[in-house]
Amino acid sequence: MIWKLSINIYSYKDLRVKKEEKKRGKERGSFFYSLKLTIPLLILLAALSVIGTLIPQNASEHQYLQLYGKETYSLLKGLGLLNMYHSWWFVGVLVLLTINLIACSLKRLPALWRQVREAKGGYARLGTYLTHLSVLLILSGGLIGAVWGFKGYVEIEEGETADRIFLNNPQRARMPLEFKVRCDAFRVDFYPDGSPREYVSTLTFMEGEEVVLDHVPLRVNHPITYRDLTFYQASYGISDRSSRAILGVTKKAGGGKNPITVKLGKGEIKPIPGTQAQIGFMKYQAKIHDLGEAVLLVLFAPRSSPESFWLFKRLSGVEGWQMGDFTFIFKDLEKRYYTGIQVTHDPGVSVVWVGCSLLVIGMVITFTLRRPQKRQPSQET
Amino acid sequence: MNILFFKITLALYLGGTIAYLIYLLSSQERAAWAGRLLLGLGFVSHCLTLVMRYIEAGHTPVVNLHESLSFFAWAIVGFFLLLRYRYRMDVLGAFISPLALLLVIWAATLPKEILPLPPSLRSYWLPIHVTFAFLGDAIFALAFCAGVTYLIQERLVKSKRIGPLSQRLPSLEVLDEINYRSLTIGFPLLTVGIITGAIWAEYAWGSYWSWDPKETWSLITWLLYAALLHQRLTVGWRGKKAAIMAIVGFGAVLFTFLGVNLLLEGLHSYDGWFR
Repeated sequence: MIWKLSINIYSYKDLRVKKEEKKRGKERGSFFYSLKLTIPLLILLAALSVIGTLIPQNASEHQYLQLYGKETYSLLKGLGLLNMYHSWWFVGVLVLLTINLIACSLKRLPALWRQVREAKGGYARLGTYLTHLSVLLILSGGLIGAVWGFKGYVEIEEGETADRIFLNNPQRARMPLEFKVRCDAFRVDFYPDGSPREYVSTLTFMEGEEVVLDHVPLRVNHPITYRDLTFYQASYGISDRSSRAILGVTKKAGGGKNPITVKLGKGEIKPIPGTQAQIGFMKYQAKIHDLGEAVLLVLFAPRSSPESFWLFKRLSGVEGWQMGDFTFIFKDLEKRYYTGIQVTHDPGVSVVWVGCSLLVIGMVITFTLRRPQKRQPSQET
Repeated sequence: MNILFFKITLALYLGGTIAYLIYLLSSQERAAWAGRLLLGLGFVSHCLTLVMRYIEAGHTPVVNLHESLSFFAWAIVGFFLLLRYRYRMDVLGAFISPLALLLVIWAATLPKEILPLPPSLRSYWLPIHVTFAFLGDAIFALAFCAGVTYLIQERLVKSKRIGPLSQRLPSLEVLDEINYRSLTIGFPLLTVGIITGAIWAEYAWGSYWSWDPKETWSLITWLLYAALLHQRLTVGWRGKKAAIMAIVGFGAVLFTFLGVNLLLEGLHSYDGWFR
């Protein structure tokens, strides 16, 4: 369809444009300020954009190999189709459109200037002009962001302080911060039905040892800007390193009813007090099937080979779960969260917002003032 | 409560559509009057549906597909009633009311329970962004209906079958004017819809533009309408070509709204955001 339309445009002979072209002869650059170029470029840009929504962009190599196989993958990669919105040919079309836009604007400038100076009510034209300039402004804002901006990511455990982030480039380059950010706490608020309502990190920003922003909440949709960086709540998780499983252990044969409490960090192996045996904590899983929380443990008992087993919180209950000569209860996991924070620096954003505001203003001026010139106002009652 | 009003709305739209179709085929003024009345009452009931659901949910009801389809249909009917007030054309109702009815029937088949808002959607930008986006879409739906009517009318005129049907349909000039007017209102609305979406994305995701399929398709739609606008205002395209372009443009609108959610993956399907 789009193909057919663009053919139509080419074959469409507009008399005015033809005449103008004849008059000017083969003036230099005339191709660039022709609207005949604008419309195919707009449609070409639209058509090209479709591709990137059908082929997943910037996915991992593994995902691509699964999707397309090796040969198709290298072909798509070679054509730049896996990061197509930044490929030379897509950016090239965008640049052509920009040149066309600038050329058309420059061409119209003298006529506009005359109209405004003679106060002939060229406000609709002024609106059109503003609209096009604002598009240029938005594009240049995007360019500024692409050149001088960056995106990074950092995970901070509760109670810990970060003084660097990792950039979102393939190398995950480490970038030091000129200040420090401490995660005081992280929490998830829930609705009564159990679905998450809010993710909140409590952060403290410090210059050296001096606290600058004390215990500020960072929530989704409510970023914090400090210096020239903006921080976004992006993800969270339970820290493997600092979380501790709390177990209750009873010796099956004899030994008192009161279980002994054993606290274990991940990967840690501890002796079970009063016995020859040792217990190790390998892994925590928040949910296994519909059985709920569980920990993977290893029991080292004398004169038998090590045995690993899953201990479910709900199943072990208060009665406990028998394993070898012992009964285990999974009492709790002392959770320590980490918060995942996206960090962004984009000096182009304000330019883009100015451009967007002017774009809307320009359009409103264009479309509200254009009508009376075209049609008889007397028809309206 | 909102479900009850929703069902009443559905019944009234059904009645309105039938009445309008009768009017199209029989040209009885009474049928047009009935269609107008039923569609108007349906719109009032639809307003109540949305208000009730807003109160019951505690947030603007535009979060799942049922709510979005219903909101879209509401905007289309609302704009049609405005248009009909301005241009006194009942016959377009025979094209618009089936479209609205279809959307509402589809919405009726989908799960209707109110789910709590996930953290990523808890923002003041939700109602602002979605309202602008759907108002623009609804205007383009009108342009689409006017475009379809234009093609039918043109075929009738060209084949010299100027019978009762072609007399009932609006003249080609009026249809073309509706096309133009829709574009001058719909295009700024679409633009504001995209911009408010970008502002929200900057707050929520830290990036005003990330080439997510929804964003990209809204840009594709915007580019197509920009092309149509330039053709109209400068090269002087009108009539049939503009009507076809309005139909193609609405295809892009529908794909941006539905195709992306149902067929493609991206940030706008919110599950993947918090892992």
